Amino acid sequence: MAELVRAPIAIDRLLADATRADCGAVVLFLGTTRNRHRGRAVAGLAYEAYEPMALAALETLERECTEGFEIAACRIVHRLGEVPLAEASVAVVVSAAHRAAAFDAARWAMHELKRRVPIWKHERFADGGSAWVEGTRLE
Amino acid sequence: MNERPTLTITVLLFAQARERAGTARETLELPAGSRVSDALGVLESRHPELATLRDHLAIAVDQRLVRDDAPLTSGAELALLPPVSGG
Repeated sequence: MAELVRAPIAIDRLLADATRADCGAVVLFLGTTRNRHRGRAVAGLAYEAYEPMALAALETLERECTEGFEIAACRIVHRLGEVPLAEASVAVVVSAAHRAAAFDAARWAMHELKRRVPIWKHERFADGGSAWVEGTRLE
Repeated sequence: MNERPTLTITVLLFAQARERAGTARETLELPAGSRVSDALGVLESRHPELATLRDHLAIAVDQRLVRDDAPLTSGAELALLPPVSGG
């Protein structure tokens, strides 16, 4: 069940939910907010989404991920609004019997998320400017 | 006297599209039979700053990606979606 949240991502809860007796592997990927973009100092970031469409797209990704890899579960949480530097903006958690499929599935889910989900990142720069991060056209 | 039939849609604008137009939401009344491209034309005439973004936008109607020639029905929600950058 995918989530869009406006508070820090509850990583402990995600990991607890993902850890199961029938799985020998849990992979957690966190995308965290970074203080530089192409050499320019970033002072702050915010995310915006077309929320119902983004949530549906994330749930489709979770389903396709679970069907396409030998895994037990995939959950994705994306944070919206202002996200302080060095905090998680996105979490992908995969549970699987074995680690190889869990790593592959988490990597695939993040790759697809970046091109299929209507979410936008806006960066404010330390020197005063701001910009929407160059993205990928939805197809 | 018959008035020409019309359809009314809601337009949602995100990210660069929202900033350029200066609004996140707009209502358009269009002639019946209008297509996505007609709605975009009206939007660009109201907000000329949107025109240079046009080639980069994906368009959704009721949360499904559509082509410019897709027909519109009254009550539809049309969304202007700039290139995405989640993660």
